[in-house]
Amino acid sequence: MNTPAHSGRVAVIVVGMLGLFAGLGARLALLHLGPNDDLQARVLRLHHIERVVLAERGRILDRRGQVLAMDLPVRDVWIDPKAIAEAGHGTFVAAHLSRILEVDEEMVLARMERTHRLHEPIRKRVHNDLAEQVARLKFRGVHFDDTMTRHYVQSGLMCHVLGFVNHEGYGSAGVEQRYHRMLRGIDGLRVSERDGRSHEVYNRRHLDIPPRRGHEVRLTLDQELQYILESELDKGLEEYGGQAAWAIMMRVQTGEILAMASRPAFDLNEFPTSSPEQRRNRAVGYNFEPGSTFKVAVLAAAFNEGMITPDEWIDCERGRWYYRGRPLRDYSPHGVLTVADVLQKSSNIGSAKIALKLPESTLEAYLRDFGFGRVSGIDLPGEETGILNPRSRWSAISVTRIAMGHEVAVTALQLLNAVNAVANQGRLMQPYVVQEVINRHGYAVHRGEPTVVGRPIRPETARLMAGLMVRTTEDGGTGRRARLDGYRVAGKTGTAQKPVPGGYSDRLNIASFVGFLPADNPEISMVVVFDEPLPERTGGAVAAPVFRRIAEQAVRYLGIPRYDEPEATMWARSQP
Amino acid sequence: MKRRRKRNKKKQAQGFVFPVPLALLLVLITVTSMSYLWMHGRCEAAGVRIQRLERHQLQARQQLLDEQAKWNQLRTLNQVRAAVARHRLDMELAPTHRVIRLARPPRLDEPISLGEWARLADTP
Repeated sequence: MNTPAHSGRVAVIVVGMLGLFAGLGARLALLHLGPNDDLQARVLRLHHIERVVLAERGRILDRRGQVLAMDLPVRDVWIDPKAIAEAGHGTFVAAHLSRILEVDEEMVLARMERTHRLHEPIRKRVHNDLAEQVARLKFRGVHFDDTMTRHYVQSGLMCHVLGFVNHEGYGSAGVEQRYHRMLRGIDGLRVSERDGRSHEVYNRRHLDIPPRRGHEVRLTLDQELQYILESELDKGLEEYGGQAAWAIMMRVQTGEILAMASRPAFDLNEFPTSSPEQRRNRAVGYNFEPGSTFKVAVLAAAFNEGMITPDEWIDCERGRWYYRGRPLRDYSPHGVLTVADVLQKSSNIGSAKIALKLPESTLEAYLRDFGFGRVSGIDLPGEETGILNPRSRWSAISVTRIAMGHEVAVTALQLLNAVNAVANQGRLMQPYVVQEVINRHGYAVHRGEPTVVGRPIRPETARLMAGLMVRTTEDGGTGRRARLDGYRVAGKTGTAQKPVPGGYSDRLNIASFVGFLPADNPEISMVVVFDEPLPERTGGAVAAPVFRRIAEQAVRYLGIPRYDEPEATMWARSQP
Repeated sequence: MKRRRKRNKKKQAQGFVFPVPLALLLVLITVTSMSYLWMHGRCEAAGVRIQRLERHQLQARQQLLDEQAKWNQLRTLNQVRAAVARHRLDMELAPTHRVIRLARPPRLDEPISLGEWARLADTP
C-alpha cells in the first residue's frame, strides 16, 4: 500500500543511490577528462616492459667443421630469503642446494639469513641438467634465471687461438676478440605491457624485433694437428724441462696456420682462474733473440745478391775471431768451411763474415723484406713486432751479431714466415687463422685467401737455400735429430743465449728448430721453440727431436707421400 | 456504409509501447558488443597460446643447444681416444710398413694382390 511515508523512504533511497552513482560518475569523469598526466605516466611505468633479447653468439669451428666454441643455455640459481624463512625449510633447502650445485652449505645458509633481501644469488651459470634436478624438488623461494654462457668444447685445446668471452659477453682474446663483431650477433628488443600479475599481455606487445644469431667462424686450424702439436710440446717440456714452449705449423703455399700452440696453457671454461702467463700466446706475442735460425735470412740475402756461392770457402778462425776488437766464438771450432757447411754446422764466425760482404743497407732491406721488425698482420690480437733496429742505430759490430741472430728479436711467427718464404719459392705469405665467416643463411661474408705480401728472394735462391737446409738434417748437421725417414726435411737449429743483466746467460737458452718438408715439394713448415730447457739446451738436442715427432704424425695424418712414392699413387691422397 | 470491424480492446497494448526500431538498434548494439567481447576473448586466448608456443620454442632451442653441446663433448679427441683405449682397440696412425698403397682404385670383388698394382708403402 503506497502510504506517504513509504513513498518518502523510497524517494530517499532513490536519491541516495542517484547521488552515489552521480558522485562515482563525476570522479570517473574527473579521472579521465581532468588533468591526469601524472596518473597516466605512473600506470604506464607500472605496466611497461622493455626487454633486450640476447642474441646467440656464433660458433667457432675447426677446418673440418668440428665445433670448438658455442653458446650453451644455463641458469643462474638464486633464492628469496624471505620466502624461504616463511616456508621454514631453510636447512633442508641449503643441504640439497649445496649437494646438487656443489656449493658451500655455510655460504647458502648465510645468504638465507638475509631475510630483508628478496634476491640472493647462489650459483651462476649452472648447467640445465643440474638446474633441472633442483627445479624438480619444487622448493619455495628457489628461483632460476635463464641465461647463456660461452662453452669451449675441448676445454684447453687451441686456447690461445680461440681466446675467450668475458662475463660481459665481450671477446677478450684470440679469435673471440678479433672477430667479436661478427660473432656476437644483434640483440633483439621487445616492448610490451604486463597485467596486474606481472604477466606479459601479448595483445599489448608494441614492438618485437627478434635477435639475429652471430656469424659462424671456421678456422684454418685442424684440431687433430693441434692435438699432436700440444701433446708433443707437453711431452717435450716433461722430457727436456723449460719454462715454456711454443710451436706453429703452417701450410707452405697458402700461409694457412694449421696448428698453433703455446705452453703454459689454460682451460678456456675456467679462464677467470688463469694467470697472465698462461694466457699469453707466445707464438705471436713473445719476442726472443732467435740465434742461429736467423742465419737462413742472412745467407739467403747474400745468395740473392750474388755475394757468395755454396762452395766458396770461409775461414772460421778455429772458433775464435776478433772483429773490431770484440771476440766472436763458435759453439764448435771449425777451420775453413764452405758456405754450405757454414750453414750446416751453424758457424757464427762464418755467418758474420758472409754478412759483412753485404752493404748494411742491403742487409737491413732484406731482413725487413723477410718480415722482421714488423707485424705479419695475422688475424689474432696481441702480435708483437719483434725488434730490428734501424741501421742508424747499429754499432760497428752489429752486423756480426745480427748474422748470428742476436741484437735482433723476433716472434716465432715471423721466423716461421721467413723460412716459409724459402720453402715457397721466395714468396712471403700473409699468415691467417680464419678460413671463412658464414652468416646465419649459410653465405660466406668473409674468406681468408692466400695472399703474397712480398718476394724477398728469387725462386732460384729459395731452391738453393732449401737444398742447403736439407744438409742441416743430414749426418754432420746440427739438426740431424729432426731427420724423418722417407722425407727430406729442410731446417735450421737455433740456440740463443738469453739476455740477463750485464750480458748473456751461460746456462739459459732459447732452443729452436724451424723447417719444412718435404724439401722437394714443401707442404708444411713448422717452428718449435723451448724456453730455458735444462740440462740439454740446444736446438738440435731439444727442439729438433720434438719437430721430428710432430712431423712424423703430421705427414701420416695429412697423407703426404714419401719421396720414393711414384706419382701413380698420388690419387689415393686426393680421396676424401 | 461498411461496417467497422470491431477491435478486441483486450488485445490492444496498454501504456508505453517500445518502438521496434529502437529495439532492433539495441539488439544490434548488444550483438555487436557481444561479438566484440567474444573476439577479444579469442584474441586474448590466441595471445596466451602464442606466448606458450614462444616459451616452448625457446625451451626446444635450449634443449637443442644442450644436446649439441653433449654430442660435441662426446666427439672431443680426448673422449674418442679414451673410448678407443676402453675398448682396447689400440689404434694409432699406421706406420709405413703397415700401409698398402694402391696405384688405382680396385674393381668390385677384386682381391688386392701385392706386386701388381699394390705395394707396401715402404717398399721402393
